[in-house]
Amino acid sequence: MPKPSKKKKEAKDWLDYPENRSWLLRCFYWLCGLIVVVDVVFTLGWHKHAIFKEGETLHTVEILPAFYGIFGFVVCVGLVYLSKLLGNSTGKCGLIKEEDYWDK
Amino acid sequence: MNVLAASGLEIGFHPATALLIGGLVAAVLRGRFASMALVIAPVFGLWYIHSLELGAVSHLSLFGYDLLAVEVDKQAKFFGYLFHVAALIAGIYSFHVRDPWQLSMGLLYAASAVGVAFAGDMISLFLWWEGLAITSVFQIWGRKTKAAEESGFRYLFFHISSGLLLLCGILFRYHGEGESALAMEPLTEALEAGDVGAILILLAVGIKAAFPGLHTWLKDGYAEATHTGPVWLCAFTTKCAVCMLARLFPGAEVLIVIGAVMAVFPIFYGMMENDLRRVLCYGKINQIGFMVVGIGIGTDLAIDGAIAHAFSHVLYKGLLFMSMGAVLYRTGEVRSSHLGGLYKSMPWTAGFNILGAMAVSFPLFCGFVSKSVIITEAAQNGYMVVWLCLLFGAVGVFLQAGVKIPFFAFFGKDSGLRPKEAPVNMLLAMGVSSFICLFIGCNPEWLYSLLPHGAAGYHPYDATHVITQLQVLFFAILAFVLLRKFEKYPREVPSVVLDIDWVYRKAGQGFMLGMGWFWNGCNGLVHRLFVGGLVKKVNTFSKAGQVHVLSFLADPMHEIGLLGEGDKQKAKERMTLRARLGLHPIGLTAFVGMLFLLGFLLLA
Repeated sequence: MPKPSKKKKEAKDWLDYPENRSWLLRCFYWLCGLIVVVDVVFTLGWHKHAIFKEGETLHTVEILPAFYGIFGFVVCVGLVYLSKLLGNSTGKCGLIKEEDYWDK
Repeated sequence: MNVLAASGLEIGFHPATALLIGGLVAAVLRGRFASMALVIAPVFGLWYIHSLELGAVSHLSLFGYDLLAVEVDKQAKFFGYLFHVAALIAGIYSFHVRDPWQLSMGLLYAASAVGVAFAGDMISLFLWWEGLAITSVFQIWGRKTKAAEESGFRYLFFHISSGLLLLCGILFRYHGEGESALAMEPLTEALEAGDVGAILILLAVGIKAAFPGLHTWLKDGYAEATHTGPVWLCAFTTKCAVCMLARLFPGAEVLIVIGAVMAVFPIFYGMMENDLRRVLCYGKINQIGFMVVGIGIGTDLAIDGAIAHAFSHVLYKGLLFMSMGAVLYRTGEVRSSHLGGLYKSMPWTAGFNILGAMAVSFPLFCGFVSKSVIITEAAQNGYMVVWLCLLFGAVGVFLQAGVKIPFFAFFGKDSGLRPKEAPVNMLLAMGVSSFICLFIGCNPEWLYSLLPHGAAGYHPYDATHVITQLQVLFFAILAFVLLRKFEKYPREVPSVVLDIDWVYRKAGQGFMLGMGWFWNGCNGLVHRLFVGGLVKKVNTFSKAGQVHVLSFLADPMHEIGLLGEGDKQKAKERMTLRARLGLHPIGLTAFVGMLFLLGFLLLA
């Protein structure tokens, strides 16, 4: 990990260095991977406490490894695209309007 | 209130007394002394709530009616603790404020909330309910801008309507059932039987709980409030509504649907919104949705979860509002398009903001131990779609409050702003709030023991729960990171987002203009017809009527020889001229006068 060098004007922060930022991101990706691995190991080796009762449709889906991760990821991506569609700031019928809209 | 009717007391003072006195003192004192009242009053109040015995009551005679002004039960005490802790934190946070209206009304607002929590019957509930509306608006007006003033009036419109609906509901029920309708008993059965009074009461509470369609006051008012305002506002009004829903409508199925909608729709708005305090407002509606679902499910555990979540929510949402308030105070700006990189000069505020963001959902924080009770209960009771909605809402709100806000305010693109760190009192308030968030997250049994049913049988720290929760949160962040990396995340631009308020702010305006055009048009037409037309003609007639009548009569009079021999036209002109100049012989005037009289006689 590169060390930040001292600067004259405004001292650069640790986060100002792109290599530090990408190191942080790499750590984060590994962490995501680690959680999935832990989930898989836990599902295989131990009894997972599903919150749905056995026999419910979602019970089997819910205890699948990484179900929650995939759900979180898909929801976020879907949310961003859907809200882009709803906002449609360039079009006429979108919900996003210019700042002085109420004063007009 | 109770102090005045000392004869009817079974418990020393009303639980809100300390806050009421504090509020009055803060109104009289100035400078730091007023601020001291903000901190001291909640501490005394907290101690007093702690000393209250369960089951104690207090009666009050008002206008000849015997009111049950206070009834102490576990839920009331729980909300009593919550409101005092919230008032204390908000008091520390507002210590530097020198506007006596904001300070005193802040404490009176907290006192009204305590009054609602302890209200023993519907009439005392109504009185405190109105108190909430009036005292809270000063946190918006305190900003002293035109936008804040207008927004305050819109806010007041909603809350006064809520009070009136509550009163209507109470009166409807009183006429139907008599005295028993005033008791603070669950109305779920009445609601499901279609009782009008119960529906009106639900609507009244629904306005304060920001039910879909009735929610716009929240994002409108909070965003225009002072930098300290939302810290007060977010703690009391909506939580009073949750407290009342839990008391009056436990197990009402309609609440499950309403709550599920509340958990989902604000997420989209939160994504589009540029004003970061509005983002928090939408997150707030979403979290109240969780509580509403919990109350709708109606099992002991679900209601416990809803109440517990109200406690956690006040703490972490307050913390997030505090960090945004600090940013607004130091930079005068809270739009994400204008912020970024503030961690460089406001590291403590950034740190507390991140703690608040983690408290939304992360293990070891308060949100984790309360929200999951509701989600689990939804699943356990077989509400599959609702569970999916709640999980969606949980992920969405974390993406906004937990990722979007810290990222765009404190990190992200450097805005070049280098404001000073927040004042010490603000940091202290954020520190206290963060500590309680962590303390409850690490010791959930402490929170559970205060709940009406003790959240019996629920253990948040189950390995599966921790793993799945971490997974959902990390993958939500991952989605954000990847979308940013591939530049698919929408750019933050200065904008406003249209909500239901469009109906009354734009369509309503159009309606006003249309009505103005129509009725003013009618007015103009009538004016032209009567004032300009008929009256003018009557006026002309009364001024020159005799000339016209005589010139009209000239021909027949000439025919019968009354005007003598000579040219008919000349005789007519002579007579008209004489009439105009008033030079008639007396006999002719008398003759015409007699004709008029005869005409009147015949008509009569």
